[in-house]
Amino acid sequence: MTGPERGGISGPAVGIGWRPEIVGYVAGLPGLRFTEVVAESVHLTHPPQMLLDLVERGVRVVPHGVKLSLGGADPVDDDRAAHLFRCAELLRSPLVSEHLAFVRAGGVEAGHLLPVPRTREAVDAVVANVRRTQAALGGVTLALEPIAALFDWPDPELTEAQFLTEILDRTGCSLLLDVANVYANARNRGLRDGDLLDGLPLERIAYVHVAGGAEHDGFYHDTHTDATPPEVFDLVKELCARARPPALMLERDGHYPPAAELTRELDALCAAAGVSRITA
Amino acid sequence: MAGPGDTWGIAGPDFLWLYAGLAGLAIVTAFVWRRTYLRGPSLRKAKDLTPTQAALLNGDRRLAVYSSLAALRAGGAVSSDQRGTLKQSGGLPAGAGELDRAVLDTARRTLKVKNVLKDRGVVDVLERTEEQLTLAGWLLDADRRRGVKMAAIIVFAAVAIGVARLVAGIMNGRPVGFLVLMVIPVVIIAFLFLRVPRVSSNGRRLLTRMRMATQHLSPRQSPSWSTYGPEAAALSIGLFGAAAFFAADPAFAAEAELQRHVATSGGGFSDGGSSSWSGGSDSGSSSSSCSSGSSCGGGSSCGGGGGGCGG
Repeated sequence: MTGPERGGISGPAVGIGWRPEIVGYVAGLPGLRFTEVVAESVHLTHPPQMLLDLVERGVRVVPHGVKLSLGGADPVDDDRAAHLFRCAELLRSPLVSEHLAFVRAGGVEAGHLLPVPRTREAVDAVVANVRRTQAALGGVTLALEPIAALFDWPDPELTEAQFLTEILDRTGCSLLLDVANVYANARNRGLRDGDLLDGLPLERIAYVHVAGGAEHDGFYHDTHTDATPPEVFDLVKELCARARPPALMLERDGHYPPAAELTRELDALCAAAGVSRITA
Repeated sequence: MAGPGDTWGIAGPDFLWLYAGLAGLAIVTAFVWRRTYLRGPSLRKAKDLTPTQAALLNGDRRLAVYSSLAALRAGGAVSSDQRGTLKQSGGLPAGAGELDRAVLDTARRTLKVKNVLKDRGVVDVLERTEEQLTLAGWLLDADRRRGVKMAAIIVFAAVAIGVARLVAGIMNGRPVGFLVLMVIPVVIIAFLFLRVPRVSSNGRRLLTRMRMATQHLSPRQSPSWSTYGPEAAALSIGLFGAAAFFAADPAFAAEAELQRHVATSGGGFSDGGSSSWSGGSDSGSSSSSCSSGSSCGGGSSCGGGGGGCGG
């Protein structure tokens, strides 16, 4: 991201996730300044030409890891961390991101992002894994994304904000804040939307995910395959009022709608962030 | 040097050298000749093809119908049940082409994809589009096809000379083994030159150019038809073959019993020659690989050592 040295950029950069199914749409956005690619999908010896074209065009492409398992009890796999670094190198990105979650334990793949128990012991384990990853990243900034959780482990010793702040403080990582998660967590726990922003280290945000979800059986699921509800855009507005993030990204991972609908969502996101449209 | 008893007054090894040169020249001339007839219209001025045109050039009529079905599917105009019966589920999508209209109309009446292919209205549109493509020069017309075949005559002339020498050599009681070895590849090449592709070379290049410009529609990306819209869906099938249908809309493709291997380009957009006819169209390159055989170096150098082995 443009980071602290926002160099002449008037407001947050707005983008949409680079996903194979819609790369033609993403490439056609005239005002695109940044996007994010799932790091595990990038083949280093045969990277997609369309992705390199974007880098050439000056679009910042952030590798986004999903399988590092930073929250696992086992040490992170050095090969996966190295892949993240090589992606950053290839795409000339000063930033990569990963989830604050675990996806495997004892060699078994969960196929899902699972929440880490909010205990001091877990903080130590995460910090060790993050440091190991940082060593492999050779100076590339790592942004951590807390995940949406439908359940909590029993007896947390720390609040979510404390847990996150402690990890960020001890590792120097940036924050990738998923506003849709914040909304989902607030709603599923019956809190006011803004409450969960309180106490979060908003000044450390590298960029923000914005996505849609759907309600099933009284629970709001952060699906990334539905349209973004207006409440999430309201939360974006509130966030921008408190601390303007350097960049915001629409994260759509499936059930891709017609281009016109994506454009409407991106326009709505730009409006919520108070920047000019990137679609025209 | 010529000695008494040499066939035609040329010593065997000398003739082998001479024949190698002659055959080589004939093949190169035929190749250049063939290429002029195969070339097709200028690529620089060429506009991109419609999905139907692309499908006909890249594959066949079946692929063209599939590409229309893709447009209709992306536009929500057709659906199918598990027995593969087609149903109209919406109006003609905006920007639909002539073939899309005919296919929808037929699908509604005949209910099966294989019947759509036989429908008079659909065939009319396909024939007309093929005529346009031929007129434009992307498909080779009868004159050009004849011109391409004429090139083979030059190589057959070289075959004739070789055979005449063989006969004369045998009648003269001379060994002809090496000459036989040399004539055989020339015969093979002559027959290869008889093969005529459907599509002009620049037609194939135009397809490659369009594939490069539409990488996002390659089945590798599993492109979202709903995001890109009906025309892009049709173009994806036209350029990348029926496999793209299975990548984007597997349920319908399976139910409607589409054939996966129509003009499937191995999933890659990098290779230009992509379809069933590419064996024929590539005779340019196959003849060049054969020409390493035609310089039948083996035979001719042996001719030098063997002495009098060339008939």
